[in-house]
Amino acid sequence: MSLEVCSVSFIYHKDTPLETKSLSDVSFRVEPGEWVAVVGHTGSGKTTLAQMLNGLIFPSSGEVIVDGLKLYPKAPHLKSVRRKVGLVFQYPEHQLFAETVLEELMYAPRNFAIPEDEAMEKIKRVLKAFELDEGILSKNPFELSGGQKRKVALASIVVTEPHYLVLDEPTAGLDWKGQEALLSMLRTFRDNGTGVIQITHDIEMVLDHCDRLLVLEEGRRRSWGPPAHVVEELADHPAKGLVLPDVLEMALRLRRAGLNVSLTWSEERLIRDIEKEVSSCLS
Amino acid sequence: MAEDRIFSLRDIAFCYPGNDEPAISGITMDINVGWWVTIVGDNGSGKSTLAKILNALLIPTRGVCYVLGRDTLDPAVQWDIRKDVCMVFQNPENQIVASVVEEEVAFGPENLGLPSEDIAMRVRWALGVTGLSEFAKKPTYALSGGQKQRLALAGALAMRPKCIVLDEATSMLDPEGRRELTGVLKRLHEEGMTVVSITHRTEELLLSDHVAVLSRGKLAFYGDLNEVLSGSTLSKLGIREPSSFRLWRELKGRGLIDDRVLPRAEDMAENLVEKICL
Repeated sequence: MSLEVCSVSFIYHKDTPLETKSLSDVSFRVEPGEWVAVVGHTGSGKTTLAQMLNGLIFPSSGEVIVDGLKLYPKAPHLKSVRRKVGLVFQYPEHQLFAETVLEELMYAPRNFAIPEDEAMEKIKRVLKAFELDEGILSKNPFELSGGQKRKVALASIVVTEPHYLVLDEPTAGLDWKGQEALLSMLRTFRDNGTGVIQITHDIEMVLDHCDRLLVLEEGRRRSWGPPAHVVEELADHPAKGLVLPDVLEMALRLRRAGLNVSLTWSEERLIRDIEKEVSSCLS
Repeated sequence: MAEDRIFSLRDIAFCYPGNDEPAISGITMDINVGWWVTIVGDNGSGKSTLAKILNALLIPTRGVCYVLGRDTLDPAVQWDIRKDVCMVFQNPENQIVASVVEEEVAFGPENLGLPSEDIAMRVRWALGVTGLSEFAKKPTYALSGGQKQRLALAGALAMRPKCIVLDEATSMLDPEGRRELTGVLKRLHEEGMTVVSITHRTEELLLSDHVAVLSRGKLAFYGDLNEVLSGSTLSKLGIREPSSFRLWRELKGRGLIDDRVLPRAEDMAENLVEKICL
């Protein structure tokens, strides 16, 4: 079981004057219970890649394989794959449309022909996971606060219990507490066996959370692997549009000046290393 | 009233129609000409409401807001206030009305009924300042997010305002787009423009000289940047500090960097290396 992306390329408006290559030969893989972050500058192909993971668009070349099923237009298993891969767009609350939260949350289960009582069970479970009160079900989604709307929009995807959850900039526009709450929710999903794919341009936010990191640059895979490995690869030649965390940036500059500090994004670690260096300089 | 004061707010409260709870209340603050004030606070803390009070888009339910000595309550001066204080919002897509870049920038001045040579001059200037001159004749849809947001700023600048109010104007931009926009704002500020900026990105505090923290509609803190940096004001109020601020305090506390150094990775690293090598 895994979600595999093999040498995928994507060309928009193929064979027209507007032809644009969005992705070139990108490969990576996500397993259940794993958190992969995809980072890259605007226009690096992140969103195109996300849309490919549940068959909204199909690669111009290469393959996307979900739990052994290859995605292609009109594949008979497309609907079941879409249920396996939940896709949360940027600003998902802009897509709320139902008159009540209950209707909103029932939409996907009905679409997948899940019996009402079973769907209701799932809705209750998801409300609990999102720390939302059941009283919210009768409310109009448009009356909710921004943070609650985001939760409901996410819940409407998560309710059908996808094996993989793809989120495009899920924390955009949220304040710090909202971001922390969302990240901790994603951690819970990951720990319960969901494969999480988080798309972002903020590498600092994901370094501590994700298991593996895919860095895209101009549609190509610039780096792939555990955060420490990626950081090492990017250290001397940062990827376009990526701002390294302050602590890491400082560590890099100190190393370039000849100080022996580790390539870390943890403050405590960096300070410890600096203190060691200072005392060895003095002695 | 002091001549160099652009905003003077006295015990302001604002209630949205149909809401009993005020979105903001008890807010008293002064902002001088030429300051850069950053306003931070959680979602729903009243930041955007406060911003809209500053250019008379919203009129306080209680209290008074003076803009360059004029009460925003007075309909006779509201138009002038909106010329002096222009806003740039979060989503660049929602602010652009014209299909060609220079027409977009001309939209505001045209509404002022200015002679066409004046309008052309303002458009040229605003596009120049925001680095968009080469795009003057381009369709607005062809711009990147960062460029669109600079275009929104150019549109505001063409009104020749004394103050720009930014409501999360960088939040939908990538790091590159953010740098482009803040670069322009920094130059304008150095030339004397007052900037009031609402943001979740606490890194942007370093651009400002004063910081206001809103919490549940109240002004929880208002002071200068140094005060924010040296204490733990932000974390006490539940606002995330950039890791560089904490690193800066730790290093300063250990005497490893000088007092004058700003909490930026490049400045701290340079200073630290200098000190160690001595």
